[in-house]
Amino acid sequence: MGVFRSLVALFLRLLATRGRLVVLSALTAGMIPLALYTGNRELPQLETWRLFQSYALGGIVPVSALVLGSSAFGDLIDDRTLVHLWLRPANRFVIVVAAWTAVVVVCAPFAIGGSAIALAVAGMPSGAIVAGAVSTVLGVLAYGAVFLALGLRVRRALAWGLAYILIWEGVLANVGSGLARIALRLSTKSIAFRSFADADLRFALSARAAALVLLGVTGVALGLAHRWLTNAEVS
Amino acid sequence: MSSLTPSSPVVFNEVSKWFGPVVAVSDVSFTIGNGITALLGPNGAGKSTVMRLLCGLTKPSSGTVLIYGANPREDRSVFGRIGLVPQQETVLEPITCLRFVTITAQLSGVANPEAAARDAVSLVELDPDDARPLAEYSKGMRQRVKLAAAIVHHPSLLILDEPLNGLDPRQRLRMIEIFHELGTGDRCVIVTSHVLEEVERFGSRIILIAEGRLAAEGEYSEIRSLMEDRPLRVRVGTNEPRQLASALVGSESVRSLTVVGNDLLAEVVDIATFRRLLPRLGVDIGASIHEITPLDEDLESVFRYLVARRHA
Repeated sequence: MGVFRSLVALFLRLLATRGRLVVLSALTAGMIPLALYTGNRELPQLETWRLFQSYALGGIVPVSALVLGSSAFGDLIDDRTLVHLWLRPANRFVIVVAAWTAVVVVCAPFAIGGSAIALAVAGMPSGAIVAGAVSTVLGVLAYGAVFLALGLRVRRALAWGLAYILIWEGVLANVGSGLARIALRLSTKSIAFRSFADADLRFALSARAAALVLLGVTGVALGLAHRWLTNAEVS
Repeated sequence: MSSLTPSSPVVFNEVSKWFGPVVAVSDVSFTIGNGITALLGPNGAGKSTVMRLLCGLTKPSSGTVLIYGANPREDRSVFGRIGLVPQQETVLEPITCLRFVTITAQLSGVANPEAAARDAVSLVELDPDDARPLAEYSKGMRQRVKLAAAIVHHPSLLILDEPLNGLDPRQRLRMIEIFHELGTGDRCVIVTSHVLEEVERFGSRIILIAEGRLAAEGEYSEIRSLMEDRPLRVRVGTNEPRQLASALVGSESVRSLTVVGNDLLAEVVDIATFRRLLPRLGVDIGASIHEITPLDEDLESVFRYLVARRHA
């Protein structure tokens, strides 16, 4: 097994704890009452779509990426085991990408699978499910990279990340277009809404621009994580 | 050891490290060659910070650290020559010993990582085929796992931070044997400890750190004699402290005398003579002596003395 695969396997073991899997399962299970609610109320398709995407892209994707991403290096720093990986001549970028890959691998099945199943149960067309899956995948990549980097940079990254999701993305991003554009949620929602029935969304980007933003953020965040890991003060 | 030689495995040149207002290491210079060197000092003296600086785990606030001529904060390739057993007990808990050591071998670029890991794990007398996760290992076993990970890539500089912590006496003996085996040839082994007697068993050269400063350096016997030569503060409990102090004035075994209540505090330069003299003087002046207590026999006070002596 090569070093990259070994590291991914290691991070998967470190990240996939019972507690975290329970949190991710609970988040995903929240889709079930939503599906029952929309089914009982016989809401218009677009309204159902909005509700699901708000929950999936505003809740499941960022929170699950935060729980895993902030822990990938954050836990190693907290329990002082980072030294075992750090004090080696290996390329730091390999370590960063391996950790990020593990975050995505654990996060994606919950985020994508959960929302896709719920959308199917709610009777949404396949185009909607595909649009939801694409936006979710790109969201997981970007949020995962951002929160991975955050875990390297600050203590209590989970609290900082939650503050970002709840305050910035949940409140401030709805105030003005400038603030909204800094929120990743605008990009994930733009892809989902533009790809399905060209639904209306405040401050929306084009689907292509939104995808580029998410991929760009992913690249920048991984670059910063590499830099911060390289220059880390390790205990 | 004191002359700065750039070709030495380890060169510390006027290194200081502070964390905000706290100075952890202050203007420390030394070089370390091959063989075993002990970094000795009381808890909180700055040993672990020196270790972190040596490994490039933290950047010096001022001064230069060179490992085989390279700055470990800038030249990552030097990590291939360093093996560290960190002080903390924690390891990567959910995986097996062999997996852990194999990953560290892979990260070090070892050609056949699993075979090297098996060798290293066997050398520290653990079972490479043990399927239990490291979370189930005892403290002593974890210490050996860390040692296996530190030596799996055959480093030429091995740094062991308090490596005997948590080991039972038999394990300690075995680990010391292993350190001796590793310290032969062209390898530089640095061991930290806060226990002088422990260091004696390493049979090593010593760098003594106290309050973040270099207090002394040299062979074990030199450091030991420095410690034994220092003046000792002794409290003498007596019913006639002033008369006893008068009787002691002029004795070459005493440097200073202070009367505090019913106690006589003496700074003694020759404790053996002082112990012989005291009962005789007590009889002569009719004073009863009910207590003789050394006040600073702990290691911390020895270190403080050596620091003060060096900077006097």
